[in-house]
Amino acid sequence: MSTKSLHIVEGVRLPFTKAGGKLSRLSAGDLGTAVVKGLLARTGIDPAIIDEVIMGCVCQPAEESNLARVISLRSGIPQHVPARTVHRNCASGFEAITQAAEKIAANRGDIFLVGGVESMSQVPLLFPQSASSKFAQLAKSKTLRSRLGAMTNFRPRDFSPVPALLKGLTDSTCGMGMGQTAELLARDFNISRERQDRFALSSHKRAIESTARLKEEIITAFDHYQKPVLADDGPRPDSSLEKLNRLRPIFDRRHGSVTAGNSSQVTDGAVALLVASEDACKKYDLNPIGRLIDYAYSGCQPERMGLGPAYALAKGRKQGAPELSEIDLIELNEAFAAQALAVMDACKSEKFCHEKLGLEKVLGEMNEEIVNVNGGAIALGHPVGATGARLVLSALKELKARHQKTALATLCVGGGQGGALWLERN
Amino acid sequence: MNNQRIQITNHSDRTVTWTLERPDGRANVIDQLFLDEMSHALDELEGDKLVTALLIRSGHPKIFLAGADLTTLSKLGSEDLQNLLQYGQDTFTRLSRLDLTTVCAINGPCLGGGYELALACDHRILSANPNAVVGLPETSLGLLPGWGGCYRLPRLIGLSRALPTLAGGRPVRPKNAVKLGMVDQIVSEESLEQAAREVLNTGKASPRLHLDNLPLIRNLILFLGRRSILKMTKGKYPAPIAALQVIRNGIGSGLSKAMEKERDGFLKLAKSETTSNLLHFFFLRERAKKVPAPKGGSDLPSINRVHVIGAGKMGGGIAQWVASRGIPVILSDLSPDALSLGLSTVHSLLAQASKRGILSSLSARQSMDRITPVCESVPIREGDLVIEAIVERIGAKRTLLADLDTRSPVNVPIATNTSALSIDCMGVAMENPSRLGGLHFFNPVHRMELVEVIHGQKTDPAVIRSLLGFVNRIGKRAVLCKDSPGFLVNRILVPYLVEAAILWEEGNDPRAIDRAMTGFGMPMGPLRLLDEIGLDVAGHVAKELKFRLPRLAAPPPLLKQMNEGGILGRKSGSGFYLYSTNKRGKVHPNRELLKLCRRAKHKSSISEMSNRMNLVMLNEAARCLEEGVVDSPKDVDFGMIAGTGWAPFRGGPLRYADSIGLRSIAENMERLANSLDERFEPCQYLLDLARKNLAFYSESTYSISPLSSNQKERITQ
Repeated sequence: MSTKSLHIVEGVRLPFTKAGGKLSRLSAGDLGTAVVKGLLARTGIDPAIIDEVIMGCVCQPAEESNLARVISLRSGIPQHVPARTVHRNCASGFEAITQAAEKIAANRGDIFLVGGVESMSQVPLLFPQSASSKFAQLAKSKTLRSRLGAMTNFRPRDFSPVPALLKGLTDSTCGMGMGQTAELLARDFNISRERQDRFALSSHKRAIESTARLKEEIITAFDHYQKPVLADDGPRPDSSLEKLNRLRPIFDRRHGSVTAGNSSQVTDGAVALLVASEDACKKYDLNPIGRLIDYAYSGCQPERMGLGPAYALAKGRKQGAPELSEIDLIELNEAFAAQALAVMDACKSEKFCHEKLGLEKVLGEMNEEIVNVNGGAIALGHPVGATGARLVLSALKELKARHQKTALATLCVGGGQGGALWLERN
Repeated sequence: MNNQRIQITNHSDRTVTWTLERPDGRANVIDQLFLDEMSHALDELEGDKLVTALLIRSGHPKIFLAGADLTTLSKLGSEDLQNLLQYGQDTFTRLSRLDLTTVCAINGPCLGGGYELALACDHRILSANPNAVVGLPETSLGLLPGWGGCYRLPRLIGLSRALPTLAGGRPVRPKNAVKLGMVDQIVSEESLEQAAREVLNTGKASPRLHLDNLPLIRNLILFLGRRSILKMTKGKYPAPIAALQVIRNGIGSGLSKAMEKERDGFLKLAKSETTSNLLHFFFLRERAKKVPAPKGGSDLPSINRVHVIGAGKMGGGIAQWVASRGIPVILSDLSPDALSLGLSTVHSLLAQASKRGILSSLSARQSMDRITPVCESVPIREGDLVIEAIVERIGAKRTLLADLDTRSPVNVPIATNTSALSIDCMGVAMENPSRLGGLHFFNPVHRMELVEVIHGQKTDPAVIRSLLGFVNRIGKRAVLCKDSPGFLVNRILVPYLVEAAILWEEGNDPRAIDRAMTGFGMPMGPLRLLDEIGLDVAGHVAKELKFRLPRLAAPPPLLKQMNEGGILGRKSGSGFYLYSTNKRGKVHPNRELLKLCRRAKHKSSISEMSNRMNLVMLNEAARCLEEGVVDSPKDVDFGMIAGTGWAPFRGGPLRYADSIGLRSIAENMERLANSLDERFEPCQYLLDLARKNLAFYSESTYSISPLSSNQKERITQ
């Protein structure tokens, strides 16, 4: 155990709320500032000792360039503390943590404020590029005549903005939307609609049952009108197989099985973690809740990005990370039920592990009992930049509650990647 | 530096620069020496045919030029005052008559006489820094601009703009100054001098023609102006009207006649009692910036963060004020809904300030960011200050204080915002009661500059020093009080309000009761004030005071009945008056109250009522000195004016009492004590002073405390 490993001292998150809903009027900067201020107040540390602020964010707001810096300054962290924003799609929350780990290992700092923020509500509408250049031309026209001329250049389709969100959720390298990759996996692994819906139901049920436990990691948020928001609003107490069954597939309308009900929700959220080296913990008398033992990122086929976690686990095995059999708790991001189930099936499939991952032995079984015990992204939502950090926070809090030792947090990444973090309770 | 006030530089391009700067680095002020040096410099310029332009700038980073030092001014006799006025006028007129182009580069506050000098120049260039205010605030001190301001400002910007600026007596911020035409342009701080130099070769300014200044129109403006001034001052403040008069006389006349009118107007005001009282209040305010801090104990770490516990109206108001002064705040409350209300309070205060141009919207957002709302106990560390503003119940406060005491470093001071409870009483629950003091803010926090700093018996002097320093740092003014029922302001105010309620029960019309005091000069009548404070809050304080000071008149059962009936004043829609949702319009007396409580039919005259209410206040004020609640009559007067708006033009209750004569006051009170009730019995201190033929202010050496030679005008929100 190297003294240069990353310890997680404490973390908090805002309630995760549906996009377009309760916290939709707050910008990513507002969300991030609220969660960082809350963490600083709760830990009581002097922000001047922080070496850097690293925040993950996918849909970075145009007016809050280098979001991490904006959050850092607005939260009252002194100007001398540098900040950077990181982006590895859905693994941005992981990325913030692992970059801090690398800096600690390289002796380039001891205390970091990390996390992830996403306001999927405030992702802008984009004008098509054709329209952009026409607007520019109009702005440049000085005379009445040229202005009139510029105006007549526009066509009706120039005025149909496209939600950037839609564009972001489509992988340009393979031309598939995220949902379509899930459909592909459902077919590959023969995962029935019913099985997906059951999985989704379980996610909601577990989230509802864990409301009290989740409260520990959540701080009260205040919306645009300063009204309090206390809890995640994604989980549905009234979810049922009948209701889920009634939904129509959205990515493949005729033959598909992936619906809005068995996909992760589009959500606003923010997570902040205080992480430090062992030396710093001793120096500042900090009591960490956990430690990062190992991590791995791996690339995979973009069309089957959902299997990313399996690839990351395979890489982990080569590094000597704990086996699945040694894990007490798993946080497996539920981008889609089909995707999560495919991962679970792939990990225990000899054929898959041998042919695709080049492993001699199978990765192992992910026991449903220990996977996403407090619900997952289907119920809680998936604010893309923040999710990675939430998985880590939740896993550590749950390990403590259960008096258990080792956890695995893993997710798939659009564009064909997988990330995995192995954690241990202190 | 060869001179003491004005440093002169001759440039090769045939321009001259006057740099206003003192070798001792103190702020630039117009005193005898300044005028002498200016006069001498003018001699040279008038004789020199080659010089083309003059630039006047300041060498002091924080101020351009202040007017006459008020301390000096207040000590001058009539003849000396007359001479000083003449001297200043003549000197500035000489400046205005120079053949060469004159330009002022104004980098900081330029008020009163300083601005009058700027008016005598051809051009005025102002820094965009919001601190660089200009204006003629003399009327707010009961005086008027006597160095040519009344003559020159209307000619520069037109009567309709000059009149409100002059009569209002408020400093004007750069953006408005350029809009009004008081300055030619505003430029960024860094570019000020360069911009001013560029103007040097634009030549003399031609006299402006303003439609307002033409005979018929100006008469109309003056007529309307007079009406609105009288409405605003209610006839209590002569200075704005006198200024209008001077302007009226001056606008049609030539320069020397106009200047004569200014001098006469100024001298007349200087002799008036109101002006003397307003100056007295000005000095009291200045004095409050430097409350002598008690010695002893080792200094606490300097404060860099504040915990405000309790997100009610006061908690929210305090949090907003402190955060907008640049200090981070943790606002905590047990319930998210309570916290939400507190944050809404903060948000709306910031929005208001932003709308009125006091804060930019960026500053407002930054202030909001400085506040962290929490619903849980968070760690407290060195460098924090804790202010508790929770519910006014001794049990709850004791529990909270005991908890805070155990979980925070001992050198973190804890201040309570209680208005009626005893600090010593609260402290019994703590292991370290020496760290507890009081910081009593007034409602609404953003408008009331007074804070009572309370010294408990066990309070460590270092804590008091820390609190006094904090009050200064956040731009409020402190009065240091002993822990005593109601401290200073409520101790004096509440019995007065109780007396008003008693008068109501005796059968007097509430409007008459209120008029008795607004006629006297209070900003609001006592029954209206009770409605504004809230009968619940007022009732609680009155009850608490009576409990701790049995000698006071018992609050009439009426108050209890109103409380129980939910008739709480404005907040419940009805109190002594009825309140509809739209704020404008007259308020009508609440006739429902007559059902609650039978009234006697003992009506008093307006003068009898104001007499009784004033005497009750006075008695308590005297008792505050007698019991050592505060040290000096200056504290009493300052506290009452700043904390309740007590008629400023009368200088404060004790100064007013002195002006009447304590003998006659004591007799008055004894008469009432015999005919009405023993509560009017004058206190021993008052009797002693009366017997010895002394005054409140003669006990201590009553001389106006020497100020620094800055005449800093406060910009209050």
